[in-house]
Amino acid sequence: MTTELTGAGAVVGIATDGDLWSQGATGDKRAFGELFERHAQAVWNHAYRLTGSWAAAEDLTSQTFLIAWRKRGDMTLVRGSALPWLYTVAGNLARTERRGGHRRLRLLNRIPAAPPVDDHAERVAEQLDGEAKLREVIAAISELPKAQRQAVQLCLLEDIPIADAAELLGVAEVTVRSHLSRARAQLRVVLEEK
Amino acid sequence: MTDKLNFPPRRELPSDVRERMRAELDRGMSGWPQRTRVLAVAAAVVVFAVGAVVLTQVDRSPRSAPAAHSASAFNRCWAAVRRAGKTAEVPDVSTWVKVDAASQGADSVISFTAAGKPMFCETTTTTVTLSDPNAQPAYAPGTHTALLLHTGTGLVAGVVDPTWPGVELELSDGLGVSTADPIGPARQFTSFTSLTPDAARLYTRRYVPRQTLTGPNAELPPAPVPLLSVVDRPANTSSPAGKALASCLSAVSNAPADRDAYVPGAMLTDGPYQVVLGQAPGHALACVTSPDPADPAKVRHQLYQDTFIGQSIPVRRLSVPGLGPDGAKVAFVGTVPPSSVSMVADFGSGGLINVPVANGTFAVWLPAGAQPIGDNGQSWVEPKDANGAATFNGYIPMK
Repeated sequence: MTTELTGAGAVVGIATDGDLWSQGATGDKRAFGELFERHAQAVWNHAYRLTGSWAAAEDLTSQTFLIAWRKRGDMTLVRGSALPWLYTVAGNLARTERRGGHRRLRLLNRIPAAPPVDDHAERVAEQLDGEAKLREVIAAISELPKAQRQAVQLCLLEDIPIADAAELLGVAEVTVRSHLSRARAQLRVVLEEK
Repeated sequence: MTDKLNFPPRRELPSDVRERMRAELDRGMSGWPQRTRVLAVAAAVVVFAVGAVVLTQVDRSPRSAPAAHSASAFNRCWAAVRRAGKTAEVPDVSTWVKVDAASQGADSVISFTAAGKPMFCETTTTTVTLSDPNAQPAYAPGTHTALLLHTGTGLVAGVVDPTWPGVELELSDGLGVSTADPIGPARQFTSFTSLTPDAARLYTRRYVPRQTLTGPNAELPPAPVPLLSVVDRPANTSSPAGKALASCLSAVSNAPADRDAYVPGAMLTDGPYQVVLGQAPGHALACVTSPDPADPAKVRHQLYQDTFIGQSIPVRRLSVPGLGPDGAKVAFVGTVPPSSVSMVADFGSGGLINVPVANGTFAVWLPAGAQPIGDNGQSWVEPKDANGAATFNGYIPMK
């Protein structure tokens, strides 16, 4: 289906994710490329939240779309959007990457402490402090059981509605809520210990 | 606490990152072997002397400039030499051999040799800057790495020690700025650092891909004075937007020192309210005129600058506070790729709105009833070039 939107004297056709994915499933690289252009920024930002590194986020985003291309026949649209499924692919890849990808963070680890010079330095310190906390959160999330981790990555990292996450994960909404509740409790314990 | 994990705000995807990822995807879809991945970027935080907090990235990616663009820039460089009457101070143009070309937004640099000497020429929308081929390289102590050009846009160019596989640029505290591979017989390198010559001293270190620390760093002596740095294409200040920008910038107390380098862009007017955009390489600003709340008979001028410097971002929203009573009049303004000539936006009203585009900027008053779509209060936009090809297709903040 193509959505026709009119306005300001123009009629413009916007292909839906379903259109593009259907075309991509037949090997239409142009259509799949359009899907990439549409969602690359969202997946890249999600990948940063999964890894705490913009370098790793770039790799992860590229790999996510390559996996999506190879598995284009298996994709699940949620309310017409490919994004939740792309998020889960990225989440699974990040899990794999964590097992052997520490080297990717080497340059990040070289960032020194913020220079205590002036007010701007305080902002720098906040930024670096924020990145350190992000990596703590990521590490804590990675230790969660798979079902909880997937629910957290979709619903807390990306604000995917619980109903959509449930549809994507193939479980009841109440199950997702339960996973989130347990995950929150576990994260609270882990993060407050630090 | 965990109900609100306070994740960092989402960022707009830089064009070079998008291009690299797209290239990787295209390669994968074609069944080609993927290139060997090298750690490409790492976020670092830099404090400018002028106070802007900026995210820069260590970037090893090749940044190509189209061949036609390179030829045009080359011609501008030579024309500037001739106009400046300095043809005798450079090797004959017949000996100029292009080695590399790179660009970031409207900022381009050509690396070339002239009679075997390494030279660099930077061109922006309005300026040409050429390194001095007769200047003696001032090497960093203990190395044969030197800067030959360092411009106000933050472009750094020089030569790399013959024994080094690559070069890393750093700040005094070891904070990495960029890494680069030497290119050509003179082992030339360029880097868009966003660090102006007076903002920071640069240090250098031998760089070996996939290794962490590769020896001590050394302070780079400042680059020599360029052979020439001229405004060869002055911004058009005779247009309504040009006049408005010049007038507004002359009225604000915090106008940028290089305000003449700003090209006027799109403009909005509505009664006493006016928003005019200006753009220079890596920088954009919005100059706003509105009634003075303290004395409505008078007007006040305010400047809003884009503080994200260094990465070329396809479409970026400039944040301008709402104007008028309760801030209800919202200027939807920002920057688009320079080749863009038109743009449509979806403000959730069931139709697409045409957004005027001028000189790499866009501006429209947010229509009544505008609603964000997508995640996080965003609007969808699609600028297009003169051929109708989309130069971006994605989401940016609505307010």
